[in-house]
Amino acid sequence: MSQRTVTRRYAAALYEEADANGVLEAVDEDVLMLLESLDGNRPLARVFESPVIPQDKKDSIVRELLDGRVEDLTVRFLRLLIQKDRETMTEEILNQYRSLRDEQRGIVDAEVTVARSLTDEDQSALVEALEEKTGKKIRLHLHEDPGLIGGLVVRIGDRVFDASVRSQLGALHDRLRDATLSEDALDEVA
Amino acid sequence: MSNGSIRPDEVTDILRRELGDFETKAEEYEAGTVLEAGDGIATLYGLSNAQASELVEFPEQGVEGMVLNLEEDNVGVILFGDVDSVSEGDEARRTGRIASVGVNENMLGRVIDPLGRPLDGKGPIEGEKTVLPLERKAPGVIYREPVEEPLQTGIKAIDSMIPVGRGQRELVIGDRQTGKTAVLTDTIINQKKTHDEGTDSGDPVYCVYVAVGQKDSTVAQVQRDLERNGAMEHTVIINASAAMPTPLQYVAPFAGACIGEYFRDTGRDSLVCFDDLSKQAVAYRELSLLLRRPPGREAYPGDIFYLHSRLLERAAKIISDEEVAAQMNGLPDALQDKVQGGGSLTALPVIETQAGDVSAYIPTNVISITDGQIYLETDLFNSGVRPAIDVGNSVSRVGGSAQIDAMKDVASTLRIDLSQYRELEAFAKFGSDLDPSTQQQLNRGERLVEILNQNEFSPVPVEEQVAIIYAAINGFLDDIPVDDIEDFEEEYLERLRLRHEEVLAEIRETEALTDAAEEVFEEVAADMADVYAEDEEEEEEDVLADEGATT
Repeated sequence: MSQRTVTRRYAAALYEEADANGVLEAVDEDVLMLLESLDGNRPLARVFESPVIPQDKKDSIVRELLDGRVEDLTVRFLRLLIQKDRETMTEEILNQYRSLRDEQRGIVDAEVTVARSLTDEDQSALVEALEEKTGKKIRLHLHEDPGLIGGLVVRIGDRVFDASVRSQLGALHDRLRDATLSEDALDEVA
Repeated sequence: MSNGSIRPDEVTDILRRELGDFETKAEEYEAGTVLEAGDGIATLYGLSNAQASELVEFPEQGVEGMVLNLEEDNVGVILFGDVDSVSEGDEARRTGRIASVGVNENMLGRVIDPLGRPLDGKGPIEGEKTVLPLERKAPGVIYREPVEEPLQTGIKAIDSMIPVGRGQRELVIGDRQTGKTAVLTDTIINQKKTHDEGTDSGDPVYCVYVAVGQKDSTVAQVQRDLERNGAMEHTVIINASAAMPTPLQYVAPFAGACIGEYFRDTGRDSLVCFDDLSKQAVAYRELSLLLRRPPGREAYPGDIFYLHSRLLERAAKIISDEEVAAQMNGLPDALQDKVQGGGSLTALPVIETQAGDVSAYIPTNVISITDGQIYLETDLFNSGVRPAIDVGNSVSRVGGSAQIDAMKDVASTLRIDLSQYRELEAFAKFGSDLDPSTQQQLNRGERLVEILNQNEFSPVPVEEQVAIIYAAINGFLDDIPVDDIEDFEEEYLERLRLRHEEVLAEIRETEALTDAAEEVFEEVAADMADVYAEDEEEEEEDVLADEGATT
């Protein structure tokens, strides 16, 4: 089974169970907190990833670490993952859960690349413009790349909106090059 | 650039004008990321709206690819061009275009790759092109007509016993080194006269030769042979050589069909030779396995039959009714206002067998798809039969109605005579005491085999084929020694051409064999047979006399 199919199934299960127990909001927060800790805390990530640490050890670590600090359902979910030998995929599953929730709440990630940093006003104007265009709530991720020279590149899902000076110059370059090669144009001039 | 007198200010002018027209516009496109790449395929993440057989570009590498696999969370793409330059993490963009080739008349005489780019160093292909999709649905039943018009190959054994009609699919099958390609090149060369004005050889036939997975040297040889025989002017060669990426070898036959269809749908006749489809099947197997499609028999994927059947279905004789033809299914937009009825696409696919095994997977598939096969045999080739066609195993399922009446008259018993000869030949090897009628049949058979022999690059016009076969089946050759048959044929045809041109012209025009024509053939044949038979007797006497002198 492809990894993606697996992560999607576990994420959907977590969502449905949380929804049924009415603890969606709390689980959302837990997932966010867990993702951040996994990202910033190598030893913790290694606990989940390492095949060397035995199952029961992992299980007790999760219990001791998280019992009382997060929703009961979250702990049970993580222990289920360990029991089913899927704990190595924890990070992907949690990410999948997040994108599942985003989809439901109409939030999309927008990767925006700019040549130099934007002022707060520009940023909020950009978010507003993108929200109007997509009809969804925008979660903005800003990147800087001086190579763009000017303008910006927005990527939402598969769609890319490229209004950078670099690509415009590239288009002009192609156009001038092709123009000199075309014989028709030469005939016209002659 | 064609003329050397371009002044700098002209160039500046063009540049200035281009600059003036240039609008700054934001680009909007869909992009995905390469997950893995290698061996001519790439797996992409994203591009969730991509369509099957859509072109995808890799802007950084300048490479294009075609979507072949659409899965839940990834897209499988086959790469054309510099396959190794694409690597993990590269960006891929949708183009919104379906994989296609631009076709026009200026392609005739050229060698191109499967995407229409010239390979012969003769500069770009000029002129406006009609862009046709590589994959296209074959015309439905109502847009077709039965195959009735002959496509003369100029090869006596084929035109007389395994006739091919325009719009037919006739398989050329045999082991390596049995002359499969020679059958194709001879057929292409014979189409030359359909392009000469003032002959009655039928409408011009435009030819496409598709070389798949062959050596570049072989393709260069074919090109040279066609050029030397004046046949390159009406031919396009598509080359996807063994050194080119597998994806190009896989699409090459489709590109060939595309060019053939351009002529077919504009009311003209075309001939497409696929040399050969076994190599395309191997290329497709490679791609399928790399795309992790489940392997089936001989590790070919499950849709290998459909690969060949959908390709060969595109061979068709289009209905001559213009109105109906204009409504043809699956017409690309580019052809919409150019459609004319009455065109045809004849396909001559080639399959290479291993040690004569026609019951392998791919040969049986293609045999069942086509309207007959021309079976070439190593044993016949080694015993000097050229072309080495095994008449007993070769058939043409629809070509019979495409034969001209004159040929039908003379060739009807040819096949039976030959197969009886082959049967007796096996018996005759055991003993020499044979009754006269058997002796007679063997005698006749030997001479029939001899007149069906033919050199490469020397197609025989159909009326001359009729003349020589007429002489053979009516016993005029029976007294001529087998070694002299070739000379006899040459001289006999030469005399007919010089003294009785009107008889040959009549057959060419009316396509029928009249009693008067038969009389002429009989007279000339009998006359010359006497001369050859006498020569023989004299020679024998000379030998006897020499022997007498020495003793």
